[in-house]
Amino acid sequence: MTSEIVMPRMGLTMETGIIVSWLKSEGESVRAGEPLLEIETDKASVEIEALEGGTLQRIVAKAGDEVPVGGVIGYLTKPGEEAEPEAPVVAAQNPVPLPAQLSPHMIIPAVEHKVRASPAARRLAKNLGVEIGEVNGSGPGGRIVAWNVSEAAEKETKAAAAPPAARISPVAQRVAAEKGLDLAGVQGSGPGGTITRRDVELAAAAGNEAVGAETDSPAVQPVSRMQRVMAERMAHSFGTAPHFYLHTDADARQLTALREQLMPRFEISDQVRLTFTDLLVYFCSRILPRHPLIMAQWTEQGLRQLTHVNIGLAVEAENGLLVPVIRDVDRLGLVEVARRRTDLADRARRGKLLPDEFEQGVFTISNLGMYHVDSFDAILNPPQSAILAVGRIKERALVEGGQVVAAAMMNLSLSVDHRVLDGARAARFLGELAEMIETPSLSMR
Amino acid sequence: MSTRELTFAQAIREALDEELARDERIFVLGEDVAAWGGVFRTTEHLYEKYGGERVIDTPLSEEGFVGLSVGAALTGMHPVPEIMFGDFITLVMDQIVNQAAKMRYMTGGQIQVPITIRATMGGGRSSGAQHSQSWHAWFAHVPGLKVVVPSTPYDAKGLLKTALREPNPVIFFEDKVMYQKVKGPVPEEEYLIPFGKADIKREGTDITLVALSRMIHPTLAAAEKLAAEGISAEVIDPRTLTPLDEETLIQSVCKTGGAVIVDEGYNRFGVTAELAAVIARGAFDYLDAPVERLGALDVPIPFSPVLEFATIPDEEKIIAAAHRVLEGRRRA
Repeated sequence: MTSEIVMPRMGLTMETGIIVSWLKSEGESVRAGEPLLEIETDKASVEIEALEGGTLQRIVAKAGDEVPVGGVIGYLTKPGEEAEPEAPVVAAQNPVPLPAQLSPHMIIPAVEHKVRASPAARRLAKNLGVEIGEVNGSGPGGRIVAWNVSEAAEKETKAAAAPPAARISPVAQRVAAEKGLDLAGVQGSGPGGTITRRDVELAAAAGNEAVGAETDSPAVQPVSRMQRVMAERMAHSFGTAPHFYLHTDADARQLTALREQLMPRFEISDQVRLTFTDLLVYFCSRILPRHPLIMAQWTEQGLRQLTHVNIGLAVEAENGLLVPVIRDVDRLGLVEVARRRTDLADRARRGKLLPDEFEQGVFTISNLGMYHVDSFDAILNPPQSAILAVGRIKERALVEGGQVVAAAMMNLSLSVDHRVLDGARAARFLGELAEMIETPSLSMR
Repeated sequence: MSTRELTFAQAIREALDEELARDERIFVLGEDVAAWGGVFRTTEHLYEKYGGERVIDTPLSEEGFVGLSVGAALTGMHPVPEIMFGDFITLVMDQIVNQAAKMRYMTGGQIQVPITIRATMGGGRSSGAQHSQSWHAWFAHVPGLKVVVPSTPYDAKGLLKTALREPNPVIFFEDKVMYQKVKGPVPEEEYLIPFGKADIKREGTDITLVALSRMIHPTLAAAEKLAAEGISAEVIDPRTLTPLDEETLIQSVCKTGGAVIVDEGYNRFGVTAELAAVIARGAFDYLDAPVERLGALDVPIPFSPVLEFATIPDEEKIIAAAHRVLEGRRRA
């Protein structure tokens, strides 16, 4: 009999899980308790152990597939049994939109599935030392009854007393070792079924062909949960929020000067490195309270007005984009902003952020200034209504008082949800920000 | 030991006869038990032999003659009132449940109530909803009563004689269908059958069939049919519900791994439920399938024979239940 391998429920709120990878391939045998596959939930990656031994007959849900809890992900055939036709996979109806989060990986023991067995069968299995999960049930609904256990025990005894494995000629043995070929599936054509050199070479050639065939079609790499969440959220955002973009160039000479002035002092007295991002976060926090609509969010019921100036920062982590949030930035001094930003970005890169550190942002800054990017437009980070995209500071020709001068310029692009804000309101915010970049002392008012 | 064949009614009559002769405190009373010898012929010629003071015809007055019997028992007599149709035992529930069953307890053992109430049970005679019921489970529910449900002439005689020597109230249920139809060997020599000792009517190894009273007979027939299929069924008759021989039931199911319980009383909250519970607890680790319960369907017993038989367990239903228990347990 073939039994279903289903997506286990690893937590109360888990609705779907993603197959990260199968640790066994189709046709491979697996013992009960052996790691069978790795799944990823929105909370963690988990190794799932085989509940029963047998052969991994078929993989239904491939790496990267998202499957609802209880959905069939594969089929396992018990030892010595024929495979049965499989049922279709139950695909996830709705992808679950969840905030990108990556909590420390935890290993949750595999959920134990109830084996249907009569009390008599269980008692007998215990007495005979038979693994009840590996016995096929012939009772109603597949219930394991006593004689199934005694028969299984008998089979085990017979198998133990089975004749030794096929004979292999010494040459064949050496060739197999050289080629790293497993002789388990090789049929011997020599006298008495002896595996000969020719058998080994044929098997090796067949293996190579199979490998060659595989490389023709490019494999689809599974993505991490994090990456998948990012993909879903960005697609959702871009598909539902009508974006518009405001661009401006800000003279960054005073900003650069300010940073150069403060940076050494911050490093000496506060052991923190001041970045342009820190200054932008600081400036935005001072301007945002005057532009409540930027912090408002579109809902089906109406606008949700948020008041805490929680600013998210797009951070590049190993597996993709993360947006940790600095809370109540308007109450923080510049040093504290720099400190929090350093800590969050560090932990984001190491995958050590806590789930709530991604939450409740009202505005996001994405700064690609460290790259060869002059300007770009960002996709809104839902449900937020605005995101600031910052390009690199670069000396450019600036016309100033009728003269062309070289000046450090910074390009700002504000992406806005047109359901919440119109161009004029958004422009006032962006104008104020540009003004503050050009004259940073305005941030002190 | 010489043995003859007696009908169920003859075995009852013989037990009464022997005990009436042995103990003068015993007297029989009921509707038409004396001059006419009982509608089911269970007291035939007792009136002639023991006279009108010990074999008494009563009016249709269950409350009266059972109440009188409880009173007589309190004074040291051993009355044997007969409820011609067990259905009407409802009329004397107070006399039995609140009086007879309680006196010994409430007097701290100073008073005993030696009374043997004979009542009929069983359907299958087109007697209608008020003359076909089997109420033995009710009394098995009451502490202070002993409940006897014999299935054969041999058991009926031996158990009735024990009842007539019992110092406590006994409700003795006789299936009226068996009176004339069931015949069986009964030794001429005197014998007694103790209460609380089940009888293995047929030994087997694959499945335990528990049945009582008349249900033993279709059950034995079913066991015979199962044997033809290669299934060895053990048939157990508890014979008394209180006291109940739990040990024999449990041991049998430990051996066979499965059980069907057959009773003519209602399934719901009935004897089959109680016996299934005893087995489930005592033989849990040996059960290879859920216990199957076959009782009367939970409906008033119909008058129409077609419908009536549909509500009562029979050989066919027992075989089907046995197959359910055995499903998947044997190699094809």
